[in-house]
Amino acid sequence: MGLERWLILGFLAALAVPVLLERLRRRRAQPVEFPAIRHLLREHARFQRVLALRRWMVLALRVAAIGLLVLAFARPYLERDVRTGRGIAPDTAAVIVLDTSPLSRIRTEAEGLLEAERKLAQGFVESRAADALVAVTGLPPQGEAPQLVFERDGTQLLDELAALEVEGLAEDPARVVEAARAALAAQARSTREVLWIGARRLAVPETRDDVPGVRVVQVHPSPDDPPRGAVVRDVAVEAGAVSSELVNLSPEPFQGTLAVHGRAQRRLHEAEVRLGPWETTRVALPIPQGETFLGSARLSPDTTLARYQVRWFAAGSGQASAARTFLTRTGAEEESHRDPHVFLRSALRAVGDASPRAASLDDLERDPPRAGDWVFLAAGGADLPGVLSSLRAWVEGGARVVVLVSSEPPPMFDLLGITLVGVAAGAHTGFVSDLALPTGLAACLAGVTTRSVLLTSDARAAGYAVLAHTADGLPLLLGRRAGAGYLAVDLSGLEPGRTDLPYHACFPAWLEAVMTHLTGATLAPARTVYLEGEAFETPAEVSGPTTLADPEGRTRSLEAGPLRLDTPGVHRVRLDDRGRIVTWELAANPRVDFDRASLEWPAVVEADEERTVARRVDLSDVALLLALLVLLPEVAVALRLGRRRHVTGAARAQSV
Amino acid sequence: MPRLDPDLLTLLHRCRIEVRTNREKAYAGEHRSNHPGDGLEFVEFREYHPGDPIRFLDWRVLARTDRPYVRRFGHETAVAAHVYVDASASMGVALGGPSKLAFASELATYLAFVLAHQGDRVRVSTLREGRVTQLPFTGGSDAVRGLSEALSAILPRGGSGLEALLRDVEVERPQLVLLLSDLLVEGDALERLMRVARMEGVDLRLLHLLDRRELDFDFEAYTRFEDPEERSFKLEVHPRAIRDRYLDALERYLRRLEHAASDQSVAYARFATDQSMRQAVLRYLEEGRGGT
Repeated sequence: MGLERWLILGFLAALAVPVLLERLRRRRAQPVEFPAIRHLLREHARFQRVLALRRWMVLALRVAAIGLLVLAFARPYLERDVRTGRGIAPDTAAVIVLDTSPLSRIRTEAEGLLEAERKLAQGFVESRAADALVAVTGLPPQGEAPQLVFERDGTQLLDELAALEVEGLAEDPARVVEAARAALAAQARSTREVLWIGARRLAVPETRDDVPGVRVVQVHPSPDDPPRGAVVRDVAVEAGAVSSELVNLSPEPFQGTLAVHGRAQRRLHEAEVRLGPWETTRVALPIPQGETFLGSARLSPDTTLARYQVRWFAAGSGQASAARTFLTRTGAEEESHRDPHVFLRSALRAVGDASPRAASLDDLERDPPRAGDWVFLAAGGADLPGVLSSLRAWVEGGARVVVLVSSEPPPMFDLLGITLVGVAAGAHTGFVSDLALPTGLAACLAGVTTRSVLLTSDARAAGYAVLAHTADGLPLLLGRRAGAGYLAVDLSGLEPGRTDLPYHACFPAWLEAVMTHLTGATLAPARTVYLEGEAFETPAEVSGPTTLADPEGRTRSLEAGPLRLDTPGVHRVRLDDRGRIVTWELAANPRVDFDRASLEWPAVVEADEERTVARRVDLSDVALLLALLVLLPEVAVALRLGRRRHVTGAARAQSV
Repeated sequence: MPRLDPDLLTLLHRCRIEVRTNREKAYAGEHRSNHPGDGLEFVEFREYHPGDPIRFLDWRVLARTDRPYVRRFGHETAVAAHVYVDASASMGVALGGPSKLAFASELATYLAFVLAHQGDRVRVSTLREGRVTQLPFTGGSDAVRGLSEALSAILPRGGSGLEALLRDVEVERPQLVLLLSDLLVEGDALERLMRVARMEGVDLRLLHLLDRRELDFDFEAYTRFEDPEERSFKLEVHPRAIRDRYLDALERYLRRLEHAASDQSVAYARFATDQSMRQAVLRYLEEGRGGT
């Protein structure tokens, strides 16, 4: 039975105290001969129900007071100073291995896991015996061996600990531990230990016959406040299957489902996932050949503290040419899918066009698009009036602008204004909007000579020619003349609840058709390499300083070139404090499964945990206040404030 | 046995208990009769009315004022005073201090001494289990001690027997009745007693005794209250839960009792058993001299 269950038992026992006291008191009722009992009996008969109700209410209030006090001072787990738990004995050689993988970015209630690991390791170092030999290491980059330097000088060890950082693609911890075990075998000490400090329980034996005398001790950095939930790591799309590695970070059993969806939310495969405490497993779901799919994982629906959802999509036929992994919390996942900008850009890359050059309007203001550049502007309706002048300048400069209007439509006159600007500049201006059909039609008619594309979920379109359709033969893109212009209408829209078009293999082709329609020409071949940090292949060969951009539009320049991108692979990734990619290095590796999930999710967990803690504190305050309010009358009665009253006649004991 | 306070007894030599009654008595004593007659003590002058005995005409006044006045004389009578001490079971309960019976016995002894000392014919009785039991008392100093001993030897038992008191009053027709009791009686016996006393011209005086804890109800722990006279009456309750309601009920009862006594011209006095006996006796005699 875990500690918390004992605490729950104790809590229930505390709640029972008032009831037991009441029972005990009734059993020990003092008999008193009382001559004026008839007054008592008469009053008791009159107010028997009131008195009984009041007695039960007082009892309930006492129970509630204790419950509220317990709640007020409750913490999910008892705090315990783990540093005092153990030290490093004399005549010992030890290697302290810290989990510096992105998993260590998890933030628990008190602090980040890495910080907890560091503090724990510091405790070991500071409490070591004088003659103990200690080495400290984190997880080295993938493929590298840990650098183990045995020291007796605590200052150096502490400096090493302080210098440890999160590794984006860290080496398998089991390998590091085994390497440390092997290194310890050469140390002449009576006790030799590898101390693994990490939230993960490693599947390594405590002792091994081939390395006798060396023991592996696994220490959780935050045993009383472990991270909750499971994460999906290492999503890989392989031939005929998508496989995911799932890690349960919780000390409790974990349950969830993994599923692969086809078009229009059609469920292709589903797998039930059950994970024991700290367990890691790999689940592979088959993908039919030629099927385009959307994968999702809904983990631990019964767990309230942690409920993650993982989605990824792959456009291809099992041999993934692009894969994306999202790891978000429920709710946030929906929002990320509503961002068509992401899909549009991904499709553009698949089509072979250049990546967006800037991520924000401010960036575009500083570095305006040049002639021939495509500008895909995702803006809400309220933003459009503010960028009208910029749009005009870009269009006049020869840029091709596609305004991607999201859920909030702009005023009609703004649309007309943008269109007229494009017309006046002799440029092709398109709208990929989610407007109702009549509104878009009017805009198109006002555009006269402008070719426009209308993306809508309105199915009332009629009299249109099918310009593009899905592999299933379903019409996607319709077109018709409108005045002097031409109107293309997509029937599905980008609403994820209605369509999975952005995930569909035909989406890039559809987009290419749209752009061809708008420009009247085929797209230029790619000139800029765009990296997403996913599994990818590119035949391009680039040398010299190169600009790289991540999927969110953040660009980074590398001056370290030349780089050979025909063998691209992510060698090392460094993250900032918020879990974002800062730099990466490429190395010769023809194929890389870039685990984006493990890079992203700690930041998400951090934000959500903070909200949880804040809510808990609020509840504690309220509970404490209520408990005090309930207890105050009890205290007043205990102090006998109610004894002031006497019978009026008795004040003058004698009257004649 | 309680020791009588000799100082208090000395003080009581100078005290009197006036009796309000319009009933003529046959015995001579300290009380002045309301009927003027041939006594020795001058009472007042009154204008002569035809038919007045001529021997009472005051000739000197007639000569001086030329108006006829007659002298009126009264004679002193001895009053039949009955003191009843309630010795029911409820009087025997002591909730911390002395029992009500102990207090009543001592108080009755002192009052009987005063009555005897002023020349009245005093009879002291107990009320217990529906019977009136007379105690020997002759009125002397030794008799006071004897009375005290006799009263202290009484064991409280049963009900108060107010019906028996009523019958005794109707038969004996005393002029003064002192009833020392906690007045915990069922029915209308007390009201009938007061009514009869008024009709018969009996000077009835109620000396109501209450235990201090009956007045304050300062019990704290969960308690099983039992009736000392009727064991089947019991109540388990937390005193704090019912305290306010009990005190309200008690206050209403006491007020009703005072009003009833006032309506029937009955003197009513209340005593708490924790007060000093000396103070209780002297205050009662001082305030109760003129009756209600």
